[in-house]
Amino acid sequence: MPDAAGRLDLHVDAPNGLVPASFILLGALGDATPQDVFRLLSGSKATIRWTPGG
Amino acid sequence: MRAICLVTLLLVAARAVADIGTAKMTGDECRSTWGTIATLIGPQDTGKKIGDGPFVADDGACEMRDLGVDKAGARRLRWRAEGAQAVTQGQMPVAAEFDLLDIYLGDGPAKAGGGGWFKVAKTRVDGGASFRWDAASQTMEIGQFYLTTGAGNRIALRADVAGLREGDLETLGPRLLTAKVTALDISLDSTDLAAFVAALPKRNPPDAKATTAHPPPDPVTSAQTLLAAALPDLPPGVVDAESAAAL
Repeated sequence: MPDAAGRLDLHVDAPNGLVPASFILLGALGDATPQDVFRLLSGSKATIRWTPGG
Repeated sequence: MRAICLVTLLLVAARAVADIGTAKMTGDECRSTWGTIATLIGPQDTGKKIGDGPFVADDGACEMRDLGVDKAGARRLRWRAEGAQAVTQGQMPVAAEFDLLDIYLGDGPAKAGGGGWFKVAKTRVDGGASFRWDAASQTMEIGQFYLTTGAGNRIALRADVAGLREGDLETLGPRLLTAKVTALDISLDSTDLAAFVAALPKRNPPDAKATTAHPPPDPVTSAQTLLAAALPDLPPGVVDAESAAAL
């Protein structure tokens, strides 16, 4: 975790669509694995960028 | 419930792409749309006044001042809507934007301190959102859902939503949850990212619950109960068979 000022950007392209209720349900089950999250994100492309400064 | 409605209103507000930033609202539009908003967020059974206004601000936005519901509120609520008549009827407008200025939660305003996220606020917290909705294609562009603090922190979300079924404002929250987000942008500007993340609300550790005389309901159990009750009403395909059986 960067301990500095800056900007964190997350961009997700999901042509198949991400259903918010599915993620809430996954969180509510309490025992979700990374594989469960990746299954919901299947077909999507995520980009994370950190820009120092501020 | 009122807090959920307030958050729903925030989630549907749209600033950047709604492109209604200069639309002039009339006094009648402000009064009629406020009637719908008050129904969604206000104490419906007591008739208690929850703010001063509405007024038409100099820039043409509608404005309520000293807004308060239970222990949450804001110094000002500003809004505009394209298709205000629809709002008056409790239906979705073509586009809308909301801004809540100087938000407070709990017994005191954000600038007076408080815990959690407000630890990094230091001065004040503003929030807002905006959207543009196309009924024909059932798509919504959430222009910006944001929270800013006077300490230089800002979190903003932008999203494209498809498959948003037509319906009234009151059911917008559930319809958004079961629609499809096809593009999502989240940005976080922070003067100290580590402090910002550390201030986010966390679950109570198990040992903390054990020492509490009246422990709060477990959020996971509460959510499971809520979702299990809602399961029959969710559209097919939202929950797979394995998850439904687990619930």
